[in-house]
Amino acid sequence: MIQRTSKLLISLLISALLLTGCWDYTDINMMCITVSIGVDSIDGNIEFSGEIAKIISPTDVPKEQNQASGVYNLLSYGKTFEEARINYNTINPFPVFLGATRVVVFGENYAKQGIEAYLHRIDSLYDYRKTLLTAVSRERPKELFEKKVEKELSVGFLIEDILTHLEENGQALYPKVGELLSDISFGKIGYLLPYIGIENNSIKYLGMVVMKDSKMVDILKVKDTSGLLYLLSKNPSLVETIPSTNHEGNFLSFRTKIKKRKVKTDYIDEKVIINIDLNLTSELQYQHYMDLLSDQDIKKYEAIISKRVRNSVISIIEKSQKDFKCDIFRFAKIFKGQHPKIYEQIDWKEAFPNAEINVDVKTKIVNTTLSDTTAKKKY
Amino acid sequence: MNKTNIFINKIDELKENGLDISIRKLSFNNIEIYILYIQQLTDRDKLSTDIIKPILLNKDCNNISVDKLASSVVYIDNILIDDSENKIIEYILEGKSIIVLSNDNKYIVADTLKIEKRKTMPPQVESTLRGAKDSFNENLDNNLSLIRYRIKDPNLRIDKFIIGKRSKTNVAVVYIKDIVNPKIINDVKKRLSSIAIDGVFESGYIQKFILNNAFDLFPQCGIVERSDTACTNIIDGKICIMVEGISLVLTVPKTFIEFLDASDDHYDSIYISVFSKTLRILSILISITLSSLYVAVVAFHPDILPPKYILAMATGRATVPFNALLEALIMEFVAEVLREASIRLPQQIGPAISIVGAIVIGQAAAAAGLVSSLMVIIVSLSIMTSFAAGDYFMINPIRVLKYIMILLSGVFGILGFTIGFILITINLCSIESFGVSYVAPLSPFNFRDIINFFISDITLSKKRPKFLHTRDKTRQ
Amino acid sequence: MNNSLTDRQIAFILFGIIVGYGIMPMAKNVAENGGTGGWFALLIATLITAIFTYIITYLGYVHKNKTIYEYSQLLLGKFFTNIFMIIYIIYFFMFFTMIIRMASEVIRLTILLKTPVCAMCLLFLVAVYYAVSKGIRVIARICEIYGLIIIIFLLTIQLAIFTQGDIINLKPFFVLEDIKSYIKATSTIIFPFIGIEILAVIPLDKKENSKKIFGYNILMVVFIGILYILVAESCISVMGVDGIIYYKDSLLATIRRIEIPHLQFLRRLDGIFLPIWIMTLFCTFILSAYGSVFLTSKLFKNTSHKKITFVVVITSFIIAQIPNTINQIEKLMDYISYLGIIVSGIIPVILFVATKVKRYDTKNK
Repeated sequence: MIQRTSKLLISLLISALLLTGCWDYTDINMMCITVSIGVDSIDGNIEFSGEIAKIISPTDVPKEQNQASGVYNLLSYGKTFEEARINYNTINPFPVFLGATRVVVFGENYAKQGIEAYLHRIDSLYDYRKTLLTAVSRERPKELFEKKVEKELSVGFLIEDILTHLEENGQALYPKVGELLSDISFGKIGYLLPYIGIENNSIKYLGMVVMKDSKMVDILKVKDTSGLLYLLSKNPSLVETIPSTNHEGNFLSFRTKIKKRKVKTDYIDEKVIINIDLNLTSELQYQHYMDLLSDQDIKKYEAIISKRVRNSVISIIEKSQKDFKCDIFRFAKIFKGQHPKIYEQIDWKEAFPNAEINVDVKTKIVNTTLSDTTAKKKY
Repeated sequence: MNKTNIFINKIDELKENGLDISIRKLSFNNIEIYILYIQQLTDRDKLSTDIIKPILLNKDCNNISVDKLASSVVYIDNILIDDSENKIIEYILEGKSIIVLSNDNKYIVADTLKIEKRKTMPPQVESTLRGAKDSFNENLDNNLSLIRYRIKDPNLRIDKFIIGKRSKTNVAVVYIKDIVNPKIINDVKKRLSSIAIDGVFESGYIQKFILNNAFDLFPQCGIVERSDTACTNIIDGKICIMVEGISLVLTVPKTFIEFLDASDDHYDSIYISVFSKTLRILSILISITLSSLYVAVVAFHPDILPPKYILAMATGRATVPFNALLEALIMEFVAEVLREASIRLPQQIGPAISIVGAIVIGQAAAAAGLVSSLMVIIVSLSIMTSFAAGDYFMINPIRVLKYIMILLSGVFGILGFTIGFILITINLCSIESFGVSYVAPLSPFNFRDIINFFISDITLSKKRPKFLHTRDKTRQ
Repeated sequence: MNNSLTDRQIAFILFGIIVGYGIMPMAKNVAENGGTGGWFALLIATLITAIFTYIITYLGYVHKNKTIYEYSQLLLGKFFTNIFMIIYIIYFFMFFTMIIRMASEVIRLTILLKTPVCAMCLLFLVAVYYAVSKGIRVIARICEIYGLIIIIFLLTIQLAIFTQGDIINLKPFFVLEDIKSYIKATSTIIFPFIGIEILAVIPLDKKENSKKIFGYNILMVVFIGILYILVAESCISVMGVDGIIYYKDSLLATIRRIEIPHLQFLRRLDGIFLPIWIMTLFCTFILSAYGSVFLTSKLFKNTSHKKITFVVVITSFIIAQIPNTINQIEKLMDYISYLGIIVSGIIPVILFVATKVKRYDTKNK
């Protein structure tokens, strides 16, 4: 008897389940797939802009198309995030799907006021991926997204792809929302965001923006960022062009990679001491005019490269200590790892600007890429 | 004298019975010899040359008795002497000829059976590249002879049962006595002898009787058509059940993982064996899960995929009016209709159906925008992988389970998919094929057996599979 | 053929019941109470669990073919046995009921936003009913198969998370001055470790289980401890000690924060992780439900196994709907973990002492 009633109950329940509806069921093509989101603050209002993929193909386009045929822009205003979201829910045909968003762009105004609130919003929305790229734009994000791009399907794709390939070559940083959130929760350190702008009618990576307490304090241009990249990037691979010491007007182009990067911290006399050791390996890519290079020349160039790298690192560190007084290099984490008890007693925000930082760079030119610089012509 | 009258009465009875029994009367010196047989079951040449001719040519007709006839005159090899008048009809129906003498109260039963049978032909259900191509046919003796000439072990036992009140079908149980686990063989014999049914015409009936539960989804007996596979199974410690009148032989017990085994793997190199077995396991998994995964991902969790894939899926589905669940169910249904149709059709129309099906479903539906092209790919992949799975009879439960999985993941997303998978596993784990756990050797876990299964190399697998608990544990 | 469970199956049963819901908030608890050196607290908890596992296995090993009902009656008499049984039944019952409810809440909040919790609870309970009605041998087989799958995938996922993490987040590894706080932290991370009392309801057979079972069980507990440490450390390495304390579902939040670009299609790991987690939950459910059904059937000897299962499942569904807020559920789970200490620690120790004292009785029989 129990068997039969249990079977009956189960079948009743299953049919009830199926008939009352699959509660969460929404097909992907019944959602507005956002490709990129921009946040700015205008006159005290939050402005959400962005791009939504166009997936309804017009009738004269061949049916067998598997890429979105374009994007259309969204724009909405509101006093808070929630109000702005309600405003754009009222103009969109489908609910918003944020799982395919590739980049979040903050306007300068908003970045100066502080982006922490929006980062926490990203954290809480369940389908927003925490591996999003974030960036700050010089122009308002609305203008950025309204720009027509020929290189890619949409502005969001373009920004993400630019930064991806720059990061793979070690020429830029690619901060994800997840990393930013852990930095914010650590406290006492700042972080960097890429800086995008429109120049000469195309979207360009302009440098980096320093965020202290999640507020924008300073801008670093691309050419000033090399020191940063030596310290923070995962596998930086930068090119240094050195004027030749023998031959006036000749330039040698070296590609430098980091072999070892070690940061040691110490606390002596109430002063934080940070020792940075960089071991670089360098390869001669080419010379502008073919010249002979002897071993002493190579050693000279090694010294020159080391000095140059050291200068750029020291200049960026000094800038961070004096100008914006913020530890953007995550030295706080290393210090905490090595001296946890002392870290609890001191306030890193006060200690960092007065810290003594020693940088030591050693370069080794490992090869001249298969071109023989010691060969002499016969006649 | 008394008995003969009874026999003569019996003969008159039989003449009127409508059983189509032919009666040949020979007479010598006041002694009448009746030969009773059924034409359709008798080898009439044999009857004439081996029974009638020697009797007629027998010069010494003075004291003809049943014993004399049996021991000196009649040429037939298989002769029996009996005297019960009730068994006459039984013998005649079995295809034997009865020789009744009017002066004796015994009669001779001679085996002159000849029935129509196919020649030994290549297998049709189990195809192979390298194995032997003589498959079983409907004649029990033929099948037994195929096994006998391969296994010449004196311990090979063939136990015969007669099952079916009206059909009296011969069923033979073949095993090797000192390898097989005695518990299993006793269990099989007990179950066979407890079958009380009117007629058995297919091994499928026997299969249903000797198993535990009619509601089990997965097949628990293997079906063998080729004699070399049957012999491999017997040597391994399994039991073969042969039913007269059907060419498919049952092997018992059989575990899930053995359905993924094809005999070709044992004959070729190790690497091919591992590769094909992995392919088959992946095929079964794909065939059950692919459509339901599609429904779960498209409708519930598109963010599991990278962004480019999300956009591709969304644009592919842009013009489809159905939602993903309905689309999946409809496409699977259409594919199943095609499959059933192609089995039942006569050979001339078969290929035409596959062309129609491919054109209709593949091209036109996608082009008309009724289903997305991704769905077509998924359904065809799912069908193809179900064919690649190895044993045809394992595919049937998969076809049914697919729908349950699709429904569950259509309601609950990835949670439903996992729960469906769990329910299938529970069902698999709860089956015991004659005391052997259906999911052995995965559980109870035996590393050696799993490796042997994958490698399938006779030189490397020295022991028989542990889960059969055979008496003789080593092969070499 | 074999009417009892092999050694390996018992070890995997242990794995199935211990690893369950606990791995989700474990990294948060470890980081909150112990900081970066929290793995030490996990180590201590593993050792304590190993000791208790030894005690319970010893009890089962010495009293062959008997479960706790029989040997407790033998050692302590009917009155205490009934009290113990009621405690055990309540414990097992609340254990799986509360976890079903909590897991349904977590799933509702993270992936299926609109599905009502009672529908998910019902789905789980239907599967639990189906499994438990088949008996312990089927359950053991399921746990063995799933245990293998879960271990392989979980290890892969954790190692993948590690590659995306930053080892600087894990330093300092061990701070000597904080050792007191590590030991205190052990009391807050009991929940992921309870479950070993399931061994009390599994009879050990003379033929199938030899002395090796001790080795298997303890090895399994140590392995679980290492797995937990791996999980906690990998989560902390990605999110940092300060960030992870805000997430109750720390493991899922960590997985959502990383992406592995090299695995093209499976870049986002949470699609693989969620089914695996549901499978581990499921093993916990069926074992705990089996425990309560088994002991209830010992108390009510006349009713059939299936009827009791049905009643237990229905009651569980009703009770799972009672708490209204997640806070209430969490409080209940805290109480359950305290009850778990009694059930897996104190009662076996009492029985162990009784066995040792009366050892001459039982061994010479």
